[in-house]
Amino acid sequence: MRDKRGYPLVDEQGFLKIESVNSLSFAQLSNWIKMVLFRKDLGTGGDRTISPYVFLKRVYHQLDPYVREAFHDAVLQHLADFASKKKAEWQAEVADQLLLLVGAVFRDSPRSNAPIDFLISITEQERFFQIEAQKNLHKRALQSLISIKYKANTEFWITQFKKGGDEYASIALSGLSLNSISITFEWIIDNASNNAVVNALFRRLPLLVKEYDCENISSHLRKLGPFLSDNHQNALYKNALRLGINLLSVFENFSIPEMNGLIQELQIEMSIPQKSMGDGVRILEQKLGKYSRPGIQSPDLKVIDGIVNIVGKNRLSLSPHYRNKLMENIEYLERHSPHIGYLLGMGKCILEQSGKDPKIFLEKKMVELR
Amino acid sequence: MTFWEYLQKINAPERKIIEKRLTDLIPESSIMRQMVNNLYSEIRFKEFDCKELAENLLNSPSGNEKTELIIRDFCRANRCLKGDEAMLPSDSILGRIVSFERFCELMVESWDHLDIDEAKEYLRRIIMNLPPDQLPDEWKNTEIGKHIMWSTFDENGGLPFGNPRPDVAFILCSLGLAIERGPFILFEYKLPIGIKPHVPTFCDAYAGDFWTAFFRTSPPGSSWGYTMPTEIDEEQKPLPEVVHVVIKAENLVDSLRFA
Repeated sequence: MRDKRGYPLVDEQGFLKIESVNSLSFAQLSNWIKMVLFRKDLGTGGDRTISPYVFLKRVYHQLDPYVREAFHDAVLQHLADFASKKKAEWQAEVADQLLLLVGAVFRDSPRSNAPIDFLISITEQERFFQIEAQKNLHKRALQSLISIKYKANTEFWITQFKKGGDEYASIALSGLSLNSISITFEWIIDNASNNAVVNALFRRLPLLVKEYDCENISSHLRKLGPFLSDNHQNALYKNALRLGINLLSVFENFSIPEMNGLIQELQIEMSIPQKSMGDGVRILEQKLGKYSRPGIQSPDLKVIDGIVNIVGKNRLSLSPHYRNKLMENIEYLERHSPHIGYLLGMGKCILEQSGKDPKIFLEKKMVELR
Repeated sequence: MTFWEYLQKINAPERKIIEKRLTDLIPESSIMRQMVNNLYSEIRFKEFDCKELAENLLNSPSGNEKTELIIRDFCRANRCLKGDEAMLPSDSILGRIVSFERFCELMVESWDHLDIDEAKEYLRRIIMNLPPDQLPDEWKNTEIGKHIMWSTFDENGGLPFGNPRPDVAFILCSLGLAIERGPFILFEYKLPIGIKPHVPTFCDAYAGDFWTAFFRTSPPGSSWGYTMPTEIDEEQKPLPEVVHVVIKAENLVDSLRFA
């Protein structure tokens, strides 16, 4: 078995024996971490594609709790050396791996605040700000701050974006989102014509939905929507669909021409004769467009529900005259287009406005249509 | 020529020094034993490759750590992806299996995502199970590997992991990969025009930061390489394998899905 100058042991197959890491002294542990980051300890088996920081991250998670504390201290020591200019050996690729390791092992640790000062110090040193370099250590330090969920003030992140430009769009967006989702979306709106910013939003959106819930994010997307280009609106629609965000509540502020692409995607057919249409129905038709499906499916019900919400929020102020026309349309649809979801939606909104219980009506219709 | 053949041509004292350096590695682990076996048996070295490696081993300080570094740096010196072009069946679909965690780590390291939570949510909610033609534009340009990609395929031109697909443990074992915590993602893709698959060589295997015991060199004239399963039994057979440069997600032919 291998035992090199205080390095951990490996088993017969060459894989690390974790218990031997647990039994290293602090100095040995610190030195070994450094050797791995410097790629000078190759005797340990592993996936040939993983990076040194990933290897160390996985080791870290298997250590005894008190050894993890020592691991933290060792990493902090190396980070301090790197940040302080005292040791020039921490360069480029090695420093990059160190910064990734900091983010990985401190992110869920009770000591997540420990590296902050060193990371901030790195971001304040011009020598690390090298956008064109293969390894932009300034950006990597910012990424580490985000990994450990450092809640810097708004100005800090906006300053980074001004400094780094589009390259830093994802950094700024993610950093802002740690503090305030409202401020994040205000910033996105201010930069809605910037591809990098919008793409950064798309990448972060699933996590934002998880952290801030669907309704909250929907309301912000509703405000953002009109500021996006057609392409971005379409892309946002597709992402929203997969995230379960209520589409129509997001898109009701969108202009009609921009809805055409959405309409084709939704493919909903409303066979309503022109002469029977009132303003409310016309709005619905413009929103939904035309489609043909063999039958309503659950995504359509979500859309119909969205329409009902719109109607319910008085977008359609139906006079008795138009209510009667809509009832005529429902009868027409019964004969020509038995789309259950449409009937559900339309019947519900009409009946609610007329003071009748929609449930009985809908149950009757569902039985008839089966 | 093989490194072994080259050593027979140099003078005996130098040969003994080099052989001792390599022999000293063998007791360390099966990884080192296999590495030395592979070094001696790799047929695809040029004479100048062997000469350079021999000189480095002769002229550098002794010690197993140094020997390992010399070999790794030798492999990295523009020697990856230099094996013969692999002669795959036409229109082959290549396959890879990667742990979800590892793929997300790759996304973070290569700046596709800012942190691992973001990468995981995005992959789970947006990308997984999405047909390739519906992938978001910003994701189509994402590189789905790092440095060199190792992949398998079906010699008869079918699906890379077979149909029906075996379970994950079987696949990992067949590919010579360690069993680690899942879930795992399956990638199925075709190489874009201009990207050639290569027979894996010693340098492809040992250029990485970490080495595996489950690699063996291919005999001369091989159309492709073969994996070294972590276990050998009647059902567990080596799979064909090739290496190629990193490609982008736009080349996927099937949805990313959990194995």
